[in-house]
Amino acid sequence: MSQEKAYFKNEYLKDLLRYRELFYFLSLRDILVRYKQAFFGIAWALVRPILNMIVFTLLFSQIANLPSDGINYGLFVLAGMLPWQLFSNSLGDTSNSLVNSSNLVSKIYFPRILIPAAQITVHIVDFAIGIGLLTLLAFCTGSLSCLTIFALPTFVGLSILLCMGCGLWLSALTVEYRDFRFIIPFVVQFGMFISPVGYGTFVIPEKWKWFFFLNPMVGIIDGFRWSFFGTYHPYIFFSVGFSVIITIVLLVSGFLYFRKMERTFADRI
Amino acid sequence: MAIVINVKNVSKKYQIYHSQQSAYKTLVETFTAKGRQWLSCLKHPLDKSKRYNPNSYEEFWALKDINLDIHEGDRVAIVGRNGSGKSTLLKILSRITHPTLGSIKIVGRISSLLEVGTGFHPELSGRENIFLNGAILGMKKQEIKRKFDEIVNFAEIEKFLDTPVKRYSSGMYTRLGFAIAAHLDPDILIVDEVLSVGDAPFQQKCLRKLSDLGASGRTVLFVSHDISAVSSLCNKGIYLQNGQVRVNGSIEECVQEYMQNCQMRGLSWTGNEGDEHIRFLGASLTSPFPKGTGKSHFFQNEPVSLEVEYEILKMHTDLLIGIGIYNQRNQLLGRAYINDDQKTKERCFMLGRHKVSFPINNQLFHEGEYVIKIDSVISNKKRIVGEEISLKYPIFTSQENVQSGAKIFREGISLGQKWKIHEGAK
Repeated sequence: MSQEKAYFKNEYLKDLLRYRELFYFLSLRDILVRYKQAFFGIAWALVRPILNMIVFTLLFSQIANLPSDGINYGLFVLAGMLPWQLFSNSLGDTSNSLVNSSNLVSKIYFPRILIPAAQITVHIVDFAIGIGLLTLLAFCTGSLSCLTIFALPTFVGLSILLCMGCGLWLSALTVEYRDFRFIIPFVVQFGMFISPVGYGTFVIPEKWKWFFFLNPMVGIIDGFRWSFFGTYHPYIFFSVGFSVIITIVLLVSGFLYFRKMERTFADRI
Repeated sequence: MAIVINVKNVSKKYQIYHSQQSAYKTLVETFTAKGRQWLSCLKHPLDKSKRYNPNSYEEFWALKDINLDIHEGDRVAIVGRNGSGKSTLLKILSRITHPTLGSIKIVGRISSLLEVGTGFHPELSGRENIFLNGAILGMKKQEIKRKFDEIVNFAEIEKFLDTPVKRYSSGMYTRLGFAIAAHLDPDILIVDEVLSVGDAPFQQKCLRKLSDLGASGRTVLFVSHDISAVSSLCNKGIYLQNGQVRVNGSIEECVQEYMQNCQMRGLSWTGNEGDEHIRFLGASLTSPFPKGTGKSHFFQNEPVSLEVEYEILKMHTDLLIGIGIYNQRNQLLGRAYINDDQKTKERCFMLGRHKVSFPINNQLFHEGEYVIKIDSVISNKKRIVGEEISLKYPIFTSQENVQSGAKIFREGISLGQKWKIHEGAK
């Protein structure tokens, strides 16, 4: 038993390296399929965040009259909307990814981790297009902060790692408990309101802030706004810090759980 | 020769839970089961045996203590009936699932082909799918590019390279899938029952490709119900029975033992053979004129009908059920599928037990002894039964021939007695 365990462990990293091209092809497949099927194709990646932006701007700025650090409210919302959409779309898709690829999992060996990872890559394409759009808009309206924008890749990386951490947990849990996928849409819907997508973190009362920071998306969204517009608040340090810690915990525990469950995926799926 | 696969004390256990209603565990069930457990603890505080136990399950050992050494360059056939553990063994060897106990050691690059066209995406074109499927089977991009033309030629799909595979016929789909797999360059190739599909020329092509691989020193593991393919391709054989190795030796030895075990031919068969989609329960040849009880043969002018009893457990659109009539040398003479008949098709594939019969016209055949086999496959995927259910079907012209014990006369299909004499020929 122990001998066999060691054999599979050493092989795993080698296999990840060996199957890197499969990762590329799986991602490419999902990207191709997504843009082939969608009526608008690539344009869809722009239409969705813009529509959401308009609705949120009307709701939070015109009706609720919330402040936005002096930034155009539309741009302010978009900077929060982009990482949120990456997160929520990844959550929904990764949780079903293994179950949907059951034909692969039960017939072929490869590191299963590639399946949820490839799912996230698809949304990274949308994400990149959105970031391009926002940079352009911010630049044209003169609200782009030329110095802090260089910190953006850090937060992009952090949001991708967070997606991966959650994706590992959820995809493995969905194999174990098939009804787990019904919980995800609820989490996503609820999560949008407890994340500062349509409003700024600074509107949260001081005594609730620590509780609020437990949501790892708070730090990421704050980081995005800071990078784009250079609007600094002293609490950013804490919200980003919490976000980094939670992401690392999710990623490491998710990887361990996934590895443990991976051995029996083919039998359960 | 060096040992490339070493299997040591490998066992695989599956658990079949009693309390589970569906095939999968759900959160809701897990929670309610816990609740029921607590409730029953309150109801029966003393008597433990009466308590509700959600974890009661049956253990099922799909493989029991398998020990194997496979040498470099061997072409090994794995034979056995359905449920004997062949597929589980292949899955463990190709690392899809882990053994419950024991260990395996593999030296060299291993590729497994448990299904043709795994991972094909229907929306993508043939070209895109070649790259995707190649990568899934473990090929490098450069390698696929180099072999691309060869693959396309082998599959004979040049014209449809840029058509989405959802528009392919099932034959094209299979050909493309096998073509990609055939161009893998592994040290060890594992093939599961993929040759039972596709048309005859293509099957020949695949067999040639596999024997080429074997000839070039690759190790090939091959599972099949097709005994003639197995005997021509392999030099070693492993016969699995109920999860244990029964024969591990030369292919002749293995096939002989296997054939002896599954061909207890008579005019009727009862048993339970099949998989999760369909189970066959009985098959018998009957004649409306039973002359005595121990009937052992039919006469040419006798109407005979074949009755088959089966149960559909899970519907599948590609399930085929039929019969085939073979001569003594295992050559197919004719067949009939339930699926061919539009009128009966729907009713025969509904869930539940069915009993169907098929009248056979004895006059179609010459005197001789034939074999009728029940044939059921999932089209392009797997064979469910092939050799397992076979019936003896002896036909005689007269009582004298029966008594004289003559067996094979002019066996084969009879074209009928239609000779005409042209008068006045010089």
